[in-house]
Amino acid sequence: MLRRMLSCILTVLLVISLAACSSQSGASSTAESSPGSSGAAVEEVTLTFLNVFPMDETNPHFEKYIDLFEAEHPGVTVEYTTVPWDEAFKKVVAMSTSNTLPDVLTGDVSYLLALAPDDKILDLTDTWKATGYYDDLCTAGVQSSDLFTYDGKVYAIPDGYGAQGIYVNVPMLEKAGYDIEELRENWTWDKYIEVIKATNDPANNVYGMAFRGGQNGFMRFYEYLCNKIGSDSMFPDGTNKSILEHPDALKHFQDFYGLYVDGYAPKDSINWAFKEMVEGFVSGQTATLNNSAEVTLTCSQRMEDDDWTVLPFPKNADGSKTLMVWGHSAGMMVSANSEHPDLAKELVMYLSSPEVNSDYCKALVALPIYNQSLSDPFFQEGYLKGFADTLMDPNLQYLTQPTELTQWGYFISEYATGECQKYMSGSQTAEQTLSNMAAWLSAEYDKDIGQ
Amino acid sequence: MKKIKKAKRWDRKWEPYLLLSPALLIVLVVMGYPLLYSVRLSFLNYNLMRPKDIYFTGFSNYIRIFQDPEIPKVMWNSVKWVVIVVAAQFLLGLMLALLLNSKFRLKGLYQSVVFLPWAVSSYLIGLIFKFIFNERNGLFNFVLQKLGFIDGPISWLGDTGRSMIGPMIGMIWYGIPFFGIMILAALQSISTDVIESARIDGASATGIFFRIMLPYIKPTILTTLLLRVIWVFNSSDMLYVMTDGGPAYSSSTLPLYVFNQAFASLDFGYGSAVGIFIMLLLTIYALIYLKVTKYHEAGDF
Repeated sequence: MLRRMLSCILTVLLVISLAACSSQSGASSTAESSPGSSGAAVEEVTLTFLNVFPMDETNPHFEKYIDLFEAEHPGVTVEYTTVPWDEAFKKVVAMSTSNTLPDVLTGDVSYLLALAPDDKILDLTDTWKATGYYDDLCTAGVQSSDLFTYDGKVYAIPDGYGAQGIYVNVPMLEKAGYDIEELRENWTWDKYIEVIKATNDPANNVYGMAFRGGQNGFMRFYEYLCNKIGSDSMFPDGTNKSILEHPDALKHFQDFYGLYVDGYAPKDSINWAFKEMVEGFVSGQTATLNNSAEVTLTCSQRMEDDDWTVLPFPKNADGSKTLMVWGHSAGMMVSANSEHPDLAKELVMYLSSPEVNSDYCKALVALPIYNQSLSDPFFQEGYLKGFADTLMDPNLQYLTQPTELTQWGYFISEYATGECQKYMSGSQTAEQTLSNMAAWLSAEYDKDIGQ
Repeated sequence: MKKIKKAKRWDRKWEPYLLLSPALLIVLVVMGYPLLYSVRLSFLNYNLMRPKDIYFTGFSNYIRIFQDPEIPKVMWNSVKWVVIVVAAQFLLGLMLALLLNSKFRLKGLYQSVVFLPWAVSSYLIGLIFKFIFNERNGLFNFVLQKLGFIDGPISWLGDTGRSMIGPMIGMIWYGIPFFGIMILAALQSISTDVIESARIDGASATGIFFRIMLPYIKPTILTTLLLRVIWVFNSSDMLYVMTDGGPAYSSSTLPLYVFNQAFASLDFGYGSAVGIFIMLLLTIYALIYLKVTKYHEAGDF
């Protein structure tokens, strides 16, 4: 009898505890209301903010301005969390499939293309235009609007622009007989490759360039090829024929990847991505590095001031337009499953207002999104001037990415990486590699755009 | 009186199920639902980048597995990864357990130190080994050069023929303590009377090991090997951190390949199909393993 009673009690307890667990978790996910003491109730609201591009320099910026936002909005708490960039995309995609995206999140164009088509993030066009700042968007932003819009609507407010530049190790270049200022005057692709070859000294653990053979490394070749053949897009004819089928594509492919194959980059760089390339340059293993402005922070911290500088993005020897991909590091988006979308939009607009954006770009070392901020002396002096000048060069043209291909992100991060690595490791010919990639692009073009 | 007895019988019959039901419910929700959902996804054209183009596609995702040109290489990598890593972990773990089964000074301290790797995050271990196997600044090349085994630095992680060696060594180092702990526990459960009787009867050390110890610890070895093969097969964090499967998929195993493909393309239909395929492979392995090793007879003396 006693055993029966005990088992009944235990069963009831288990059921109650399970029920309690579920009701508790349900309660914690909803916004709570606290009754005001004298009738005027202040609604307690918690907004969640996920930053996928955390940096020691920008985290304090967000915390500072979030505090100010909270002070201006009594009862509002913003929970600021971060996730490392390398793991962020997969995490955000998992969150979106389970409708647990934070109210506000950051992300680049790949995030936008993963979330906007499925209505996981909100259209911010009208909200941005209503602030009055939209009309002051800088030229770099206007030219690259593909990066924050989908189907003609704004889904992300960009944070700051980072043009590319060629970081060079000054003593290594001088040892090879180059004068930096002379190079600056005549800085073309051919000169850049000549410098890579002249500074290469594997016997002393020095290589000419930090090669990006890992994820998204194809983008460097894409830029190189477009500049060489003078195309500003992947499908210049408006058909499924990509520039990889251009008669000169094979030669340029062999020239570009030949820099790795012929030993002008460390053998390990077949797997290198952003972190490894930067580490290779600042540790003195490579003489040059093609990268964006945020690397100046690392260089300042790890290298002597006189040991490095930044040359502009190389020009074409024939004086034709310089084609370059640039973009914002991350944009701010509002989740469609936010319970407080208006407040979340208000937070995004506040954090991207000219004053706050300018402050953010100073911390990140990027160029601000509004014209009014670009005149700030901070962006007109020092290393940033080189990047600002690059972006303001009248001969510069924005190189578009075929983001209309829904699998473009997969192509540059996985497919093209694998194919190019096969060539770099000698397990596939250049012809086969280009042919495979061209066929893949054509097939995807047909699927998404049609013949 | 009869009614009360009947009710009592009913209670007795259902009582175990009633008590088990909360746990079963949790298992069903946490494991059963995702599994069934994956099975459903594997029969759909389900790409998050084309959300308006989701439809039933039959076995086409499964057919794609066999048409994917990278799959044979990736499967062969998985076999090499599991066989070499588990075999080395087992042999070294067995040696460790035999050493720790004897008496020596500071045994407690030594025991706690050698079991430490198991307590460290595999992600962190991956980062450390990535540094160790760095071509130019890595410890491994430095030691080999100092010992005169190599003339110049070797690219361990950037060469298709060598890219799995570093992650394998890292994984072996990480997993030795698990085998060590399990086998040591089994060894310590053997009655000392049995060993001493054998010694009195004139049995040699190898005879004692092969004829007494090994049969005693066989159930533990079989269970641990079964579990470890499944875990090592599915474990790709070390490879992800050190090479991300590259270069040219030369260090990619099936789970890592699925992970990268599914999340980069957001093609969860294909990703689920490969996931179910992996589950079937491991189930077949487990059934064959249990049959071949006569698992149910192990430990019968």
